[in-house]
Amino acid sequence: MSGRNSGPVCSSSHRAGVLEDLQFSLGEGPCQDAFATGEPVGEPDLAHAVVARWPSFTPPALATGTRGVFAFPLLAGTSRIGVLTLYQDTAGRLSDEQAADSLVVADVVAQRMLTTQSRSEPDVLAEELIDAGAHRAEVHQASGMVAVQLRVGVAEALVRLRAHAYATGRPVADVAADIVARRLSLGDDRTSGGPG
Amino acid sequence: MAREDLLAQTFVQLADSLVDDFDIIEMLTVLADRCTELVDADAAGILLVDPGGNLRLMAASTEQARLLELFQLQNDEGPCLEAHATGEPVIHVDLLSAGERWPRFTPEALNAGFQSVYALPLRLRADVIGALNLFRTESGAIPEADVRLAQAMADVASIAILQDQAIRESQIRAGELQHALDSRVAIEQAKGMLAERTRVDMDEAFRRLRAYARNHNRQLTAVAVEIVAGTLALDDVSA
Repeated sequence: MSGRNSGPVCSSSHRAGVLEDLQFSLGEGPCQDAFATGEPVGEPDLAHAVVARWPSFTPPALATGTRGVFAFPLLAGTSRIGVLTLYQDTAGRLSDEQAADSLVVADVVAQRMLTTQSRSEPDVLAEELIDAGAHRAEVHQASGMVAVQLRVGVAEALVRLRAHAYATGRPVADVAADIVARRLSLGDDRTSGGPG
Repeated sequence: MAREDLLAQTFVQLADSLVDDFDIIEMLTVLADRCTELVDADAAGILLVDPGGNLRLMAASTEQARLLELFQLQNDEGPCLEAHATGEPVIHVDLLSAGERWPRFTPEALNAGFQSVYALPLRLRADVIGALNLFRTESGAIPEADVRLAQAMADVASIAILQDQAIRESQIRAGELQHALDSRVAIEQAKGMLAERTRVDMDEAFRRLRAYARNHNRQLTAVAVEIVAGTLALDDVSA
């Protein structure tokens, strides 16, 4: 999805979800790089990276026990429609076979997404592509609420939401849920994340 | 240039079109011209199926070939149409005896100076997407190897065309996916804005959004986009 509206859609495990959410909160990580460049991005060993590409993402990622990360953009022609990211507990490159398989999987997933959407009405996102748990909807609803609370545009509101999540060490989805449930308002204080 | 060099260059050019910016007319024109240079043919024409399923003339190496291809299309008769319909090569080495098979095409072809024809299907597996047609001013067969060569070039062209179509379709679908996603995001954001402004829950906010869209005969997405952009005031929507 476009950089403006991108975000995690589905994860194979809790940890993968945490790592995806982390990158979404930080706006930094292998996912973002793969999406931006349209090229696969990999770091076989986050603990000994030759070049420190993700200074904010790396420490918390390592804290989850992740050592290697490999991101494959989902391509439709030259357009990028998402990213498939693989996380591993050990350091080390993907074998040629693993890399080739990953490219095939990315291709299959991309085609599947396009086909799924093509069966839906033009303006309506296909049911299957709306992520489980409605997290994404709540994040955007919360952005709308924060936009009114802070009198800013929704893009800025989302940035403030993500910043609050990072500052309080909480997943974006949890912060969004609190805002939608009116347990939290970002309009009441702007220095730290206290409930209104 | 030696035949082998021209042949190699032709294949490279056809294969290049698979990866570079793809101009389909350019590629088919090259294909038609090269066929006449590499194979013992005097003229060549290429027909391709359009999205509506109708054959269209895409390239011809001479004006006569062009007119003859158009003639086949207009009269719905001829070796080229048969090659496309059957997916098999249609060859007639002596058009003087083809009068029964193609009563309208034959005199026209002979008039144009052609005495034999090789019509080769443009195909990839089960898809037949057109035909490559070689015309000769002499009767008689051309070497089998030449026919295989022409078919090979036609096959490479078919791959390039189908690949290009697949890529275009993917990109169109990607655009549709993006649009659907943007629509959903805008709607959720607008709900949040409305809910906060009017202190209602999300369901009520959504109800009001839809009511506004309905009453003003507008699409929900369009209304949501305007709310998010600030060009439609929240107070106007909740009224």
